[in-house]
Amino acid sequence: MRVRSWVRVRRPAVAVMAVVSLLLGVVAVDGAAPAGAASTGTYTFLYSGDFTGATMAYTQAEVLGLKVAIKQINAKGGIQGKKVVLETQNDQNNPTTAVSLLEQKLTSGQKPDAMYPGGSSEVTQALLPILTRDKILGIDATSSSTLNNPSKYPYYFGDSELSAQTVPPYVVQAKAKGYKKVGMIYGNDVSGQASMQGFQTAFQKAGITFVSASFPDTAVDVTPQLEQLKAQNPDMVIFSGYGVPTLYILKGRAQISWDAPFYADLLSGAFPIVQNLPASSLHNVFIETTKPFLAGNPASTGNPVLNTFVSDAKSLGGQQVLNNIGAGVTAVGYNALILINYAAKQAKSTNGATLAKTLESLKKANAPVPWLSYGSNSQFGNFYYTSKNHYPNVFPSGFIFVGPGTYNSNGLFVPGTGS
Amino acid sequence: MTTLWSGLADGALYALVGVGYNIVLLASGVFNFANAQLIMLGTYLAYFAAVTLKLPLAPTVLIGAAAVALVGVVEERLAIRPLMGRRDSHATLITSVGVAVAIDGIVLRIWGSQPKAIPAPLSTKPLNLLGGTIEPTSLLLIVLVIVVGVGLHILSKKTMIGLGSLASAEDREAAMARGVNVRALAIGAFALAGLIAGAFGVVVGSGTYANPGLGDNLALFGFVAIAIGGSGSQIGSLIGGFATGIIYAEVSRYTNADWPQIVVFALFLLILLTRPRGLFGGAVERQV
Repeated sequence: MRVRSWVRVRRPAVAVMAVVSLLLGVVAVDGAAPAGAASTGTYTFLYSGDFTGATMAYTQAEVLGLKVAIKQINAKGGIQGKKVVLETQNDQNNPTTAVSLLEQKLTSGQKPDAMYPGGSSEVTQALLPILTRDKILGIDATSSSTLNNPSKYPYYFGDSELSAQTVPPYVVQAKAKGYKKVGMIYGNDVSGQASMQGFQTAFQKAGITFVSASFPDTAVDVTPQLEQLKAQNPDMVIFSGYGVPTLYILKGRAQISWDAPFYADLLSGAFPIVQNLPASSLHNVFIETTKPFLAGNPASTGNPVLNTFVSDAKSLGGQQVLNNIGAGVTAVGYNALILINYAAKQAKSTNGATLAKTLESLKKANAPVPWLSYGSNSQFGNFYYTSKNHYPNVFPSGFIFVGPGTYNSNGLFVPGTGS
Repeated sequence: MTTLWSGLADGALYALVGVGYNIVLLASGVFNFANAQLIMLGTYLAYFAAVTLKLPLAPTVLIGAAAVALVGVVEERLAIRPLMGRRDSHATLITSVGVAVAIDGIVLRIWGSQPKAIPAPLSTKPLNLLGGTIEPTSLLLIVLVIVVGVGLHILSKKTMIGLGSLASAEDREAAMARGVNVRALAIGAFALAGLIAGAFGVVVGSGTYANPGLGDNLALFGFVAIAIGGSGSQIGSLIGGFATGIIYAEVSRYTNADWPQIVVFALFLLILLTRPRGLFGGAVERQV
């Protein structure tokens, strides 16, 4: 008797459980960790960067660029009809933190549609295996050539030039000046070592002797390293450092009264040097900048996309970022989403794997191209990636050496007098 | 010789950190790991006073000294005193690390991540001295650190306050039984360490810039300085700090970035293995 009662009571519950299980199974089958799980009508873009540490100023610029892109894309209906939503995670420029945060998101079913995987090569390198495993499209501006490996990282693309691509103009400059020996002082980290190797290869190929000295990121003074380099009598010196070491290099140079021409690499050149050093320390110091973001240059003044970008950035409260960090760094965030949108229109899809394939065969855009950085008519480079190259193609003609300066209210670089 | 001057200037920074560690250690037996962060805070306050408020040198130094002294007192009250007298003496080390992290965060929140330039109190034109060059402010830093270190050494050996501090650090209960106000000495030590850290803000910051990584960069080598020189000895801090700076600079001059830390820490290990109390540290009894 009891068994029959049990069956009568349990049968409806079993039926309900069966229906629920069936429904759950349908959801599970429709893609594990569905992208933008909370909102099927949105395109979720995740930015991983340092929001509270020493590099947060660059994060602010990149996020501003993303917000400008989101504003423009959403005003025209979003990416393939999906409103773009920005999510962020504070990885504090720490690879372990970045991996941990992303894994937490993925295991809780919050897989992004695409992401900006870190503000430094170290962080990006740590995240790429996850992007590859989960087929998440990633675009960022880190510059180590080890990341340009489409066979290993098929879903990752760079939207700023590799450090090696910025090197040829230095070789051209050295040859034009008749220099026989070039020195380099650099920070002994992944970015500094990559930069040094790029320069070393290029100068040795050009038959110019190359010498170098490195310092740890924790150094509070680099005078001994400068002395080491000075003793080898280079005709020109390239310097590479991130943040305050850039200032230590130039301060130490002034202390030992070394007036050889000093050229900042891409990393040091992005740092606000002029605000932190007296003019007397900047004699014969040059930075490499790009014409599309140089004030008064036709490449910047004649670009309507840049004008709209600047205007939108200011409307989003980005004036201080433009003044302090410049439009160039802000543009790398902008370019990431603009490129995704362009690829999505071509592919008529938002699927990460499909977009990655599409990015390798983008149709040529008419002038003015929708992205920034290489001229309105791609006269200084382009983002036409291939299956063998996931970084921009950059032309040496886009670079120019000027004295350290400041940014104007539009985030364009105004050179000082380095010579 | 320029490299030697550079080593002495960097060594002065490490010695300054070591001196601050020893002030608190000698008076309360506590190792204040946040002392390097107090020096960093001093540089930011120097920036605030000299650049933001555009004050002349004297008020800038006074503001830095007073403000960081106050921070030291607050640290003692909130992070150290509640744990004093416990059997586990490592708890105060951990809380002082927490204070260091908190100061790092506060500095970033208020001033951001970009370094801040602080006007030098002396001319920036390098001096040619004994065959090398050094900035006048760096020379001033070296001289002032030596004066402070020697002065504190004399204070601790020749004055009642100094002797009372030593007694308190050696045996707190015995010192209290003898009428020594151990609480006042501990508060005074934290205040003095903070005052010195804050007062040096201009001289330190004009060379290093006020930057959020400064505390971490100084903390480790400051510890090495007192480990080599002997914890509890101000003269030992000076010698340990300058030795660390000179060795680091000379190895940097003639090798690559991998070697200076290796050499410094090899020396550190050698001292720990052969003379654990440091070159000038006092002998410590142990139960056998």
